[in-house]
Amino acid sequence: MVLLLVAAAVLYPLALLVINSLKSTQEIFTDPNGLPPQLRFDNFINAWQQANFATYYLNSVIVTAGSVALILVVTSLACYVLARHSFRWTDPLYLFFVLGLMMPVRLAILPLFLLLRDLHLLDTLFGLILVYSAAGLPFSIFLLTNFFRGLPRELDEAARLDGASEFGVYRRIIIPLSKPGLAVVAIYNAVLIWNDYFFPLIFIRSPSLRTLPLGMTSFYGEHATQWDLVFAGLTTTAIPMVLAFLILSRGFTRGLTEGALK
Amino acid sequence: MLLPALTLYLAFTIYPLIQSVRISLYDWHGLGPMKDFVGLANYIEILVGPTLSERFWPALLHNLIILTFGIATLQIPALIVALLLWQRPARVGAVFRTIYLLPWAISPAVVATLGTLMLHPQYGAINSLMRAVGLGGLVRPWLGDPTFALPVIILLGNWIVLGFIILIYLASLRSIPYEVLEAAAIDGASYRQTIWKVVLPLLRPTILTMIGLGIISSFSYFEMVFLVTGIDAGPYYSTDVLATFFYRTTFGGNFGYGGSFGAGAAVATLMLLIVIPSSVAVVRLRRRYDVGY
Repeated sequence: MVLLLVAAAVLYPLALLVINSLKSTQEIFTDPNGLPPQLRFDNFINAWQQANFATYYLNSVIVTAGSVALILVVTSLACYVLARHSFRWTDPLYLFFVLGLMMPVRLAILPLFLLLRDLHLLDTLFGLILVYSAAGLPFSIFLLTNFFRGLPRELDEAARLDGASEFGVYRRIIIPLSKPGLAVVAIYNAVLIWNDYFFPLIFIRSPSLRTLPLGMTSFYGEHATQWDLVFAGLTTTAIPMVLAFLILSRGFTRGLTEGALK
Repeated sequence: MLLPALTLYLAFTIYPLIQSVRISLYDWHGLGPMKDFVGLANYIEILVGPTLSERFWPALLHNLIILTFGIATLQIPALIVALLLWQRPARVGAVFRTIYLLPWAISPAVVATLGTLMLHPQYGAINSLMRAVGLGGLVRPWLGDPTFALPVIILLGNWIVLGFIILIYLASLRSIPYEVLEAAAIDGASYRQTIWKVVLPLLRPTILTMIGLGIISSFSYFEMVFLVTGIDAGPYYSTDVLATFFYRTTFGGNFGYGGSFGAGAAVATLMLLIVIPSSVAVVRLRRRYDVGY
């Protein structure tokens, strides 16, 4: 009973979002909870044409893919050393990275703004990619180091005996065995980066460089009274990620529950 | 192999955080070199000065409300739902878990906008639904009411993360070894005793981690307020939080303060001074309760 009630509370706004995107503004105003009398798919065409959703999508894809790729490469390399070697400095260094979990990068937004300005990366997608990658490091390093530590060491040693180099062990042993862990890191970061509104709000000025959440809110600002367009725009922004996540969520929850959070 | 990560982390996290502290000691508006060193003047202005302190303390109070009301309306329900799911067959559990997790894939920007529309006094779906089920007497302009605006915004934010928190509690429950529960059953423990005396104590580290994350996220709370009630966190600053206060202080708001990077950096540093010690305290407490199976 409780479970169903919570499910209803979760699904109600989602249903509302989709239902209202298929009505006219007048129909939404008179009965916001009712089903659409007829399905007005042209809301989506109008919203797509009036806002540059294609551009916003492209920008979001570039930023998300770029950041996630950078995070995966950089953290897997670092975690290989942190998890597989014990020098005197590996443990303190690991703690130094994980300490970042307690320091929200958002609170350093002002110096970051100045840093990007001095690097001429303000108002660029590449600047966003660098900031997101750094912000994603602490959690990703925490997760992957634990995952790598759980892999059997015998494989490394066998590969070394066969003459594999340090990089060879990383590339041929660790990475192929770590796909579930890497997937969790990728999905977790992708969702947060794709949906982020804060950093683009501060760093992006050009309308043509807006990411999806920023583009959507400015679209709302311009069409606040045309609820049909707004709902269509909201649905266009939200639903593809929800569907993608639905497909990926099994691997995500499994990886998260089995590997990382012990 | 460590260099790329270290460089990125030092350049885009550690350096800016340190720099933030440095900027907070200057009277600086972002242009030209920083040269007017003012010591702690910005902090004094924020904590006891005539204009800024009037907004700082209420904003801090609102962050604390977000933290406590957030724990009450998020952690406790999430824990209850996780306990209920835990006893269901894995298949059923997985379906609910997936449903609960869906909002987590949606941008706070979308949720804030959708929430604004749903809570519209005249045309909003919530008021319309309440009238339909006979609660018309309770209908109000939720976001225009200084008492209700902040709690409603907190609930909007909860909607996004509830499923994720349930997932983590569930993972932690699933990792409790079967033998422990069996032992409790053999000793004749009732269901209630098992939950209170065995399961919850074992969950303590996870609960503390969640509270630690709650501290961090409630003190960096921004989008929901900024997008739902605006940069002035209306009505009458009743939803103002430190992050919106920081935004106005830094980039210029409309209360006669033209935007000062120095004062803004001081607000950010004060926020760090709250967040870091409290999360360190939580981590220490967590270590005391750590369990190994």
